[in-house]
Amino acid sequence: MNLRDKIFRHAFYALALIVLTLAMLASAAFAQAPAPQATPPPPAAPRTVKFPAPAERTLANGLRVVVIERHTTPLAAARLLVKTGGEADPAQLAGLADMTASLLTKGTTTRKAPEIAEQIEALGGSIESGARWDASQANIDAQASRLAPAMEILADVVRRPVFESEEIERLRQQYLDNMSVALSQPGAIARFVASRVVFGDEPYGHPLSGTLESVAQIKRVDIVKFHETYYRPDNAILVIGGDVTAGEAFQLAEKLFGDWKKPASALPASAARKVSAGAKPRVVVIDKPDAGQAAVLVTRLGINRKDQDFFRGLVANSVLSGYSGRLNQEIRIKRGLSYGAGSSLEVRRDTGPFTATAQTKNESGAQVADLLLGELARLANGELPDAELTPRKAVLIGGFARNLETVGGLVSQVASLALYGLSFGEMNTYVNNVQSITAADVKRFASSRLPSQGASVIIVGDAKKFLPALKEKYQNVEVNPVAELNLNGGVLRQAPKTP
Amino acid sequence: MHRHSRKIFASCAALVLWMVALSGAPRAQTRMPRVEFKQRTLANGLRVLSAVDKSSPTVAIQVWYKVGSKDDPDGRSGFAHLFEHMLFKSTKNMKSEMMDRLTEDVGGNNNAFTADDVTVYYEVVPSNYLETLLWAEADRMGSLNVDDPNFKSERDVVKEEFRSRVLAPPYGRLFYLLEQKSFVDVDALRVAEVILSGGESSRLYRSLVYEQQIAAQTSAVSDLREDVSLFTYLAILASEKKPEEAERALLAEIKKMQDAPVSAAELEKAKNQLVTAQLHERETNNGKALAIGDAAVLLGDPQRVNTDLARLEKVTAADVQRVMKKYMTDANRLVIYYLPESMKKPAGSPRGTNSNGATKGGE
Repeated sequence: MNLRDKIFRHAFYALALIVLTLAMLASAAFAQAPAPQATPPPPAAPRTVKFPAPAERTLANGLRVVVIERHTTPLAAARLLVKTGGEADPAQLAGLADMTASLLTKGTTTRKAPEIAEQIEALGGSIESGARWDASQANIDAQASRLAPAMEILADVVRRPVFESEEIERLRQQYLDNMSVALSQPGAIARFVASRVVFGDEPYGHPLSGTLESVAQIKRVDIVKFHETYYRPDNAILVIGGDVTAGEAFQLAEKLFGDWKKPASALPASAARKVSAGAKPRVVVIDKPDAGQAAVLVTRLGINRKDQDFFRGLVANSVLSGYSGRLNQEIRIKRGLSYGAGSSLEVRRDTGPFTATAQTKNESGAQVADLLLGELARLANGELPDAELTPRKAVLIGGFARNLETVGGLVSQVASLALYGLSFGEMNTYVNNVQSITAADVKRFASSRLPSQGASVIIVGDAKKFLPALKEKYQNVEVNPVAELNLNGGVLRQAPKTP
Repeated sequence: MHRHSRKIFASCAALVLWMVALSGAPRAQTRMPRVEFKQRTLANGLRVLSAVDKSSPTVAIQVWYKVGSKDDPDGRSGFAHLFEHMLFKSTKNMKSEMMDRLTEDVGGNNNAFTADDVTVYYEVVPSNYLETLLWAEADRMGSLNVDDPNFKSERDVVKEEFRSRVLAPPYGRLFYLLEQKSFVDVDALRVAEVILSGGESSRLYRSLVYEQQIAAQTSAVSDLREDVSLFTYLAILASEKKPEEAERALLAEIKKMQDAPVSAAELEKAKNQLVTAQLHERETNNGKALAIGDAAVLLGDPQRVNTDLARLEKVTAADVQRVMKKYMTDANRLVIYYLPESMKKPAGSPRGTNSNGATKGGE
């Protein structure tokens, strides 16, 4: 090979190398841009947010005041909680706590109902009140610069409501209308029946907003007495939060609530009490021939808010519930039997209910009941791989963080911890508390606290389409025509006419 | 909602990212914190809008497609909604429901909605999953599988969704068709909406719910889009009340707004309520992203996310009166009564037509 050939060959190789390199670079560049990768890219390092500790003090009259600061948006919120709610309703007067609380914003000694709405809304704020289980509550939300005048209205409605007869009648009519609408809907009927089945005649058994009969019976004197008995500073908590300093908030609290007199009488004990878990499970059908869909519900006693198993329960319920929870997986995603199935573990001062529910076409009622119960049993007896458990815990943690994104959510969370006498530190330990729950914890919780054998089944719908299948499975099916449903007691039937 | 369609016009889609932000905003007399966003357009035409916020460890991702129920094929109403559901099924690289795995399983959530003009898909996830979800949105934008089993099971779900929504209390609804609106008109219509239905001191609540007790609930909603839009009044009837009574009462309130200007106090109240509503919406990352998407896609200019309030401040009582007269005319109105079977007129009675010719149909 002569020199020229050598030079030529080297030159050729060099050129080839350049071309090849360019080609490789080009193809790499090409692969990076348009050809999508087949698997999702992994997450970056997680980020966390720490919640500041709320400040608190108790006024001389016994009112507990809690302040949580957040200065990211010029908004503020306040919640006044009276530590007594629907559980204190007298047996014949279901709905009394809720009516009393709802009437707070309907007139005070110095403001008529329209003036209350007019004044708070002129500030760009809002006010609402109502009762739930364990608490009666009045809430305001406002721009931070207008917190003081908004809180003046809050103090007025809580301390000086007048319960005008005209307003009582107006509200009574609204409650009756709402109840009539609810009683046309299978899902709402099933929830009312479920409370009666779980709690019978006990305090959490009735509808929170009362029944058609009880609401008709509530008198002004009952409302005034309820307010006098329970709305007192030593039975209340005031939570203020948002773009306000603790110093400013305490000053406002003292100015607006400091002269709220504590009555000399002793505070009545909480009406809520533990319900015996021994009640026999029932299978209740409410026949509603015109129902377009059947509401299917499985229910039993659950736990209370301070139960040592609270976080185990929370995670167990999360495995069942949510869009990707087992109930929706089995009933909606795999079988298309429902638009959505889910469950809830309601925690209260005393034991609350666990419910699993789905709406489905009438023909599938019995099948869906089976599926709901089957999932409860599988949680107690079946496998729960980490690959399934880990995401269900993430659901809880993410939901918790999202709820606390808003000032209203943050203040409500603080209020709930205060109501149940829990540590505010729980906001920062929540993530670890959830993370520490194992598959064995969930299984133990499901088998000891939520055994499917103790659960009752309720189906509201067109009974002829699902009753034969249901009766094949259960001997003790109670069938009530919807027209004869009586929500005033655990028996659920109208009392026989006595001569 | 959950699971509503798309035809892909990548060039029309806007991708809105709202990453979390700066804290320590100054407190003062209420001033709307500015939304600082960036905007660019990829080579394929996809518009990307992004904003940073670090007060919450989450990121909201929204993909806006400019297609909606107004594009339903003839005789196939509901198609856009059903199509929306299909985007939660499989793609070339994702199994069915994988979007839920990628969001719920990491503590986030996702959903979609189909409106007349747009279909919007969104996710809120811990912010370290941003890239993962961008991949997933790209994947379903580019390689959706539509097979028979997927389609049939999803169609069943939509049917159950429909069944679960059929039951509702009786109501009357008035629709006004709005065409060729100027910006000034749009702003005045938004203020009118709040004066009519913002809270319990609003005109409709005070009159129909509180004083006359004809309705259990009322609303006025201005759905203000680029081209043709609707201004809708709704009255959910109190028991024993007839839809005709509600319609008369609604028309009387509309006439009052046309006959006399609203008071200065009412105008001020409405503007105050709009400020608070906007502050609340923008507390969350998803809310901020919706605000940017609304401005960019429905209002045609993302800058409007920061300028809308200043424009609303300029609305006068005369503006409100003028738009009420201009758009709420008899000729522009459609009335619908929704009644349960039991309130239906006896068979054979003709469907009502009101004096000005608008159709009334039972649903």
